[in-house]
Amino acid sequence: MRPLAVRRAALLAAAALALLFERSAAAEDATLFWRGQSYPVAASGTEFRIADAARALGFEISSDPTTGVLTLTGHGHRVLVGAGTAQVPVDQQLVPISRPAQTVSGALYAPADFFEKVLFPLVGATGTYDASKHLWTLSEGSALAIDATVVRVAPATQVILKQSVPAKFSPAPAASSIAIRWPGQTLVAPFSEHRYEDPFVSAIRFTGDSATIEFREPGLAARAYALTGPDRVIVEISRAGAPSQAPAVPAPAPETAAPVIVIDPGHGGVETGAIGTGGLQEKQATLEIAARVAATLPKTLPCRVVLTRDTDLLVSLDDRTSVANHEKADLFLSIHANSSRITNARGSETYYLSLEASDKLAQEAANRENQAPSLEETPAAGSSSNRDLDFILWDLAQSAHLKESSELAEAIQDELNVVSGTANRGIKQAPFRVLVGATMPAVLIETAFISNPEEEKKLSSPEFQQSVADAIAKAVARFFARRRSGASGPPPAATATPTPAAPR
Amino acid sequence: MTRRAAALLLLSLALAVAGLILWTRGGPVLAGRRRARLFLRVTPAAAAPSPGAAAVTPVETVRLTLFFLGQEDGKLRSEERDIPKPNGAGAALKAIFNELQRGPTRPDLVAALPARIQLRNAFLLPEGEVVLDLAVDSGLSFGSDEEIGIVASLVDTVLQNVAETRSVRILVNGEPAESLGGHVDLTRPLLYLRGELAP
Repeated sequence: MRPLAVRRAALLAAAALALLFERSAAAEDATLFWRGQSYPVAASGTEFRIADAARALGFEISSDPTTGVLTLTGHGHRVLVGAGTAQVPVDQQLVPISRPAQTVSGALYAPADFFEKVLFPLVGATGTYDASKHLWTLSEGSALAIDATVVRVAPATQVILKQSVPAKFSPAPAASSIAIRWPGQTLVAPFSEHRYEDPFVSAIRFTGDSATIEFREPGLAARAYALTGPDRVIVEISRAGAPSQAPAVPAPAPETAAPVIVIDPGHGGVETGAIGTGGLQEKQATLEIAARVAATLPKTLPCRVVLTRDTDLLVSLDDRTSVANHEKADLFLSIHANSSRITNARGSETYYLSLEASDKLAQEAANRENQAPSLEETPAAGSSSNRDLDFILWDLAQSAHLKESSELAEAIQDELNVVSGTANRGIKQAPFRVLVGATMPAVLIETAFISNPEEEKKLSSPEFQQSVADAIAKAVARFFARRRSGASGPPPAATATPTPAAPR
Repeated sequence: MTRRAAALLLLSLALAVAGLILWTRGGPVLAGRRRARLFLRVTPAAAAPSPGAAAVTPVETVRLTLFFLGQEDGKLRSEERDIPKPNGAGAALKAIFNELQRGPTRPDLVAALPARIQLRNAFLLPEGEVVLDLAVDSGLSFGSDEEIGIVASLVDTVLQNVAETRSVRILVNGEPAESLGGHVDLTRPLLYLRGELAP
């Protein structure tokens, strides 16, 4: 062999070794040091083999051969881990982790915070991964994992601090903030600081054993109380003197000011909504119809109209309702185009909120809310367990308007039946997210089936769009006229000339 | 030692070390890259018995009540089906999902679940809450009726068939979500949706 060939072989060998050693270093195993013993935990990049740590901590491990779900049982707890899911069921709760567990060579691996937020607290230990030493050194004493959520419940804002385990807390209110302290606890915080667009809460910061909620303006009132199942601290922030709970049904008082009507064109941005076979996107049709409704309504009755979007923009469902609540709207109308797996489905439909899906749970939670201690109490021993209904006040807000929402839906459906020339399909109820938080009568209007080629063509025609807008405006005017007259029950039906019942 | 022999020795040594490292570490990183993430793990179907083969021991079965959409009105209607008895809650939930996705046998019914929704994981929590983690193709879009049909078909079928269950929580792609496609509220556990059943 010539010297050049030898040099090439040597270079190739060196490169192969370097690559392998680099790979080896990237996946260097971790060590778990607990109660005077060291346990190896296999690593793959920044993920660690769950079974290694669980076994070291005394959990029994079983794996479901059909689903691949790993069950860890021990210390009075049960943990379920499945590949691809970043929510870990721990007993009756779901604990969020930064990244989902993943399968590597047939074993489940998880990021470091799975061990720190889920496993270590279950054995009464706490520890943070030292990446430079590839080491967890656990100390006795449970860490308290906190998950923070900010929810606008007009006229207040709720900060929900969900705890991994029950813990005593104490609030420290100040002019521009309120600090929630868990004395003596080691916190596993979801972040060190997070900023919010909420009207009352500008930021939440975690330092030491405290979470500090910064107000957007000084002088806001705050009250904190604990709920269980899951264990959490609720901090409710409102303007001083404002009612802290969702308002009751506004009396149909004499309307001196022009009513405010919020029109919500469904979907938008990357969320196209349903797409017809001819390519029409629901977001496009809803925007065009909503613009026509907004232009037509003021010609039918004196009112102020607000659109939740007037361009091709993605707006979250909760933000759409927030617009209506912020504007103190009198009505909320969400405009959509329907789609069905039933190929010949056609016609229009009007929905109002159904609480069927969560009525029982909502009632349980409502009872608990009513019994909530006023301030700084830790959960009472034996207090009724509840389910995770963080947005219960939103439910209550719309449930107070269900009767009027039903009347409005009926008025709109009557008029739309005339437009579509179909037999009355009746109004419907469904657990639609966009209706849940509305603190005023609210309906979702399915103008026509975009999945039906014939109706898809109608949806893109200006004539049909305008006839739908006219029908909605007429129904809204009738609704307000009826309300002003103080009459109860649905407004008188429009005259329809129905064709034979349309299949869905 | 000749230069050629030295080069061969060096190369052999490198390959031996490489093999040893891969073998002892089980190659998690390489394997992790090679292995695609399978969201739905399908149990291999049993091979069909060949003619003249010995009689197979009867498999214990369970009867499922599955809810599909009625072709006429889009309301949920039931169809019963026997399947091999699943071993445990997770396997039962997986089997139910698979049967819903397989669709109805009756011509007057339509499957509510599109093929591009897969079941990533299913958990049964101690107090009867079922958690279904759906892998939903980002290109999917739904209308209201379609979305209600998907959710109601899943929720009602699960609560109908799995004992001791009281609610179903649906996650989308591993995380909590407002909805599947802009309509049905998924931020809380869902109870039996009786309003979607055919009268």
